[in-house]
Amino acid sequence: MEMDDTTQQVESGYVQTVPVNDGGLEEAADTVDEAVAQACAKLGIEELDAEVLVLSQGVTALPGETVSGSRAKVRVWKMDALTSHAREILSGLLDKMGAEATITARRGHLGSHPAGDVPPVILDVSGDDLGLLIGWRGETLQAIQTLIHLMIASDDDSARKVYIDVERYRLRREEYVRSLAHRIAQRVRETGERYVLDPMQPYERRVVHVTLQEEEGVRTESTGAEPRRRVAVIPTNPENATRRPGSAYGNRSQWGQGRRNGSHYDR
Amino acid sequence: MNQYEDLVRFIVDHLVEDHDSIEIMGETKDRGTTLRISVAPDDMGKVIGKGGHTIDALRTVVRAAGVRNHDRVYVDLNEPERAWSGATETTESWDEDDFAEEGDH
Repeated sequence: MEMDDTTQQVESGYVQTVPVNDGGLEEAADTVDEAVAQACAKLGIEELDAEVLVLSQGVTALPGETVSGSRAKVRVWKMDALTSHAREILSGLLDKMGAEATITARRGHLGSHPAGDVPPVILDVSGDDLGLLIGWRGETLQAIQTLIHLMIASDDDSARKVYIDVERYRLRREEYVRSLAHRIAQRVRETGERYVLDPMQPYERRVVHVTLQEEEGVRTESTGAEPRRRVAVIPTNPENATRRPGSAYGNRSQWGQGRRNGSHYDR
Repeated sequence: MNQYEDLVRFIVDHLVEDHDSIEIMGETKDRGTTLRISVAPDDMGKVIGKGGHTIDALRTVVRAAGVRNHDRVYVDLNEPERAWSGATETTESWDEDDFAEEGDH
């Protein structure tokens, strides 16, 4: 990766590459909100038009405690035209759905995105009682995402990705799915037997694939048809198994959801 | 029920090219409201989407909007005769398969 970027260690532990001269402005303050407000004032934009990357949450001092050197740090950009358009349409849609919500824009992780590309933007929807916008297993959120993509009608395939999140559901699911993937990989290595996960949203399946790409001894593939498409975790060296399948916490393939092993979903 | 009509119109309006041909008819019965969408034949594909993906998403969103008020809201698309009889059959047979699978406990 050739670049004149700075690489910064972000609080959550992953290394994030932040382009320096792309109009973003870095600000520090006692809280994230204050830092964002400061940056917006300097950029001369409304907070509604800001795209924010939180570099450090800062530490909140308890009463009577003095905390030094732990300020909140953010980088703020003026929202680009596509994001602004997407936000307007999303805001219209939520309004018509009868949901009272605030939408803020967060800059996504560079993660597995090609170097040089602008990282995706996440439109964070927050408010009271927004469970309806998420739905069963994120079904409604996924539907909103699908519609917004089509409604912003960008014919440009290389256009920046716009994701939608409600009450950080996607973020929380992502963390859960990642830890689940590691757990299942461990088990598959031990038993030498493949394991088929419950059906997941396309985005979540992608998280499993990406997470387990680097794990030794397992590979992943998707099987079945939407909306019951699932990820199978498959041992690459089944002869290294240390535990008999079906022992210990039991292999769910004997009961319950695993009964469908061998059905057309799994092929 | 106007709120749901507004919602559907808002979505469909952003999907199609021929905005003037959009018609939405609401019909309320005991078991809920059905909104029938008509669009220009050339725009049908945009509202249905690949494998019905778009219309499914639209139905999910409208259903979710109804849940808040304990309303059952269904969405149907008026299909012109000539358009796509084959695709409907595919959907039905898939549903049957799926049902058989679920019932086989």
